Amino acid sequence: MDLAECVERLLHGFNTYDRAVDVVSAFEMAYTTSRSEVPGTVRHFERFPRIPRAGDSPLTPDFAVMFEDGTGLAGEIARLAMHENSAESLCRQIAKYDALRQLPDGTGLATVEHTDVLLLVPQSVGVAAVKRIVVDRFADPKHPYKPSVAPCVVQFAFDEDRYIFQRPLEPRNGTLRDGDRADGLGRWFEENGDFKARPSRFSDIKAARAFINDPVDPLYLATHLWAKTFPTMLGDAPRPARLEVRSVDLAAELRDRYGGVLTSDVDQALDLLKAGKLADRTLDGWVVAWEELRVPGEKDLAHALATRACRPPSRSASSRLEAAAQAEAARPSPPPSLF
Amino acid sequence: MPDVSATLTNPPRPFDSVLWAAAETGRAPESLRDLVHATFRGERQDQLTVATVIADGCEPGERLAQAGAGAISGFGWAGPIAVLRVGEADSAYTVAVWPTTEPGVYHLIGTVPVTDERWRRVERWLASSAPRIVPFVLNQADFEGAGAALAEHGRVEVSRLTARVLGDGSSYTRGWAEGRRAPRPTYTQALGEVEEFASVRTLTVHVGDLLSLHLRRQAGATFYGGSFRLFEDIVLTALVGAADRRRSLLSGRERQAHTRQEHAIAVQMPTGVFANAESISDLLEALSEQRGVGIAVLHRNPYLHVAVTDYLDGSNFDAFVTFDDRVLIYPGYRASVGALTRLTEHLAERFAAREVADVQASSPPTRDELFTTG
Repeated sequence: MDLAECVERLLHGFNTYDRAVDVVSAFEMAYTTSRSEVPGTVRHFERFPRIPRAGDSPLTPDFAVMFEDGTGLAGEIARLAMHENSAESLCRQIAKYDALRQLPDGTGLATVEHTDVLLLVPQSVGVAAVKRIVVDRFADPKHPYKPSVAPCVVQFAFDEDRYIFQRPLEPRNGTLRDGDRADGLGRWFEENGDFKARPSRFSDIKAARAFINDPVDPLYLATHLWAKTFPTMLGDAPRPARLEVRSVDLAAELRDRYGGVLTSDVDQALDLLKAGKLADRTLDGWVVAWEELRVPGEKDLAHALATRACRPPSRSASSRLEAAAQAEAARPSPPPSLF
Repeated sequence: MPDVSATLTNPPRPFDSVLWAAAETGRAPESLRDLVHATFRGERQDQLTVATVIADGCEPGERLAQAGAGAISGFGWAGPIAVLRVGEADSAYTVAVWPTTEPGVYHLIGTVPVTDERWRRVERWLASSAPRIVPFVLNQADFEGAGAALAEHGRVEVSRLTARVLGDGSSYTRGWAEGRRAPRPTYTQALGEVEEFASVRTLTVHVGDLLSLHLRRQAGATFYGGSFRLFEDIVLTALVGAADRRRSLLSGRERQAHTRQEHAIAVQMPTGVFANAESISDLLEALSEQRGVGIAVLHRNPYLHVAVTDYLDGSNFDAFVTFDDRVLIYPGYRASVGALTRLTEHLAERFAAREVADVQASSPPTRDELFTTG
């Protein structure tokens, strides 16, 4: 793989993840802060749901909503690939969400009467998603995918200066059951067909949360660590600054501050920094050589990190730190002060 | 404005000599006003340059002295005033760091003109002392307010105006000779003349026969002559008030865990400044051109979300452009007053901002807005 292709691949993952952060943030806004009657119907919006199952791995939809009327919703952002396995796998996943009878209520899990499934897909695969998930599988009596109700497929796109969320009008596409609630997204989609969200409506949520419930893209998290977490930890320490960290501790701190980050996410991000000769593994953790990165012709840190990971410099992080320590030790004492 | 080249070979001004002598004895002058009254003779070279700065967690006099160590020949304290002596013998001049009534707000004061290379040198020390000591740009309202306050004491006329053209960032200069055929414009008229196409940076102002001064949008002023009391009471007081409000606005803004940020900091620009892709490129260029500042672009088109890192003290911010006339800043878990002041000052200076202000963090839409505009 050549450099450009390698960088492009890393940036594609970065951009896809960022778009998903936007989408979840837009729904968090709609359910919690919009000046509609919807927030009043919500008992709890959970951005990082983790619903344990006996003898099996927990379920982790991209977000979950517990309504005051005792019903619930699980939201999932899906990237539907062309091959059939992709649709089959997605059906198996969202069938489990349909079966959920407990959802987070802010303090633990609470029983719900039913759980609607909101399946969010890019507009480019919106029609195909309805056909492959709802028509070809849910509506096919011979297919094993048989949730209690059809999932509600909603496609999203960025148009001009706002996100648009549209429910394709195929009659067999699922709906969100608002019941007797004063207002709800089910009626929004029925009455209007779509709703729109400008980034200005959810920028505060995106800045506060930063992540979603999927594994964090390694370049995205590496960029966050480099631009926010490490400087917050190091302050005005001389650079390159030596930082010894354990991924389990970093993940705990990120979860406390933003939510959702796992130790495995941090390890993958630090692996990417290691590939760029900015971090090294130690016996019990990591050592990071943090400093301002300047890649000629490139101002964007994400690009710079991707470029370094794809075309690493020769010196390791540890050797740069050692050289900096030696230079510091060899520096003559400062001249006597004027005052 | 006086011919600055004429001052290059001049011996130290009496103001400088007296202030340095005070620093050598450690005694403070009675007041800035007394010092000016005692040393200004009404000569052409008698002018007092003032730049108002915000200091964050440092003693600014010592910090500046460190930044200018190669050129500074002496440092002393005239009471609470740090006095830096720059250069030697006949070419020596002083720069004083004068505390104000507000904590963290200082005036840098000297007798060399603001356009003189000797003051430019001080500005370079200031730049290299960031984010511990930072200048700031006055809000449009503060700038206009100073003119309105002066107008209470006489007709305020403008003899020279410099501005930045909003369309292309070029410089604009206009001068008015003392009126034979027509009077010079008033402060309000001069501002009004360019408000449609340019942002005023400096004004040379005359308050009747009472006072002549140079007022700068990057908070500062130069006293040319007349009533120093008026200059101090109106202009310096306005600068200190603006600095204190800015320092308060940008203090304690660090994000706190488990606490919603209900407010953000907006740098409000003229309408349409970020209306096209080129202007977003200009913004990214501007953000990253500062010493020790880096950016990470999280989302670029068509809205901008960028993480800004101040590598000098570890401060970090989320900056959004979701409207064509505003940069919205959410401070991160480390966000110093100095770094925030530096960031907002740079954007304000570069894009001719109208104001730096506290705003609601978001504008949640109504149900109808979600169906229509988003």
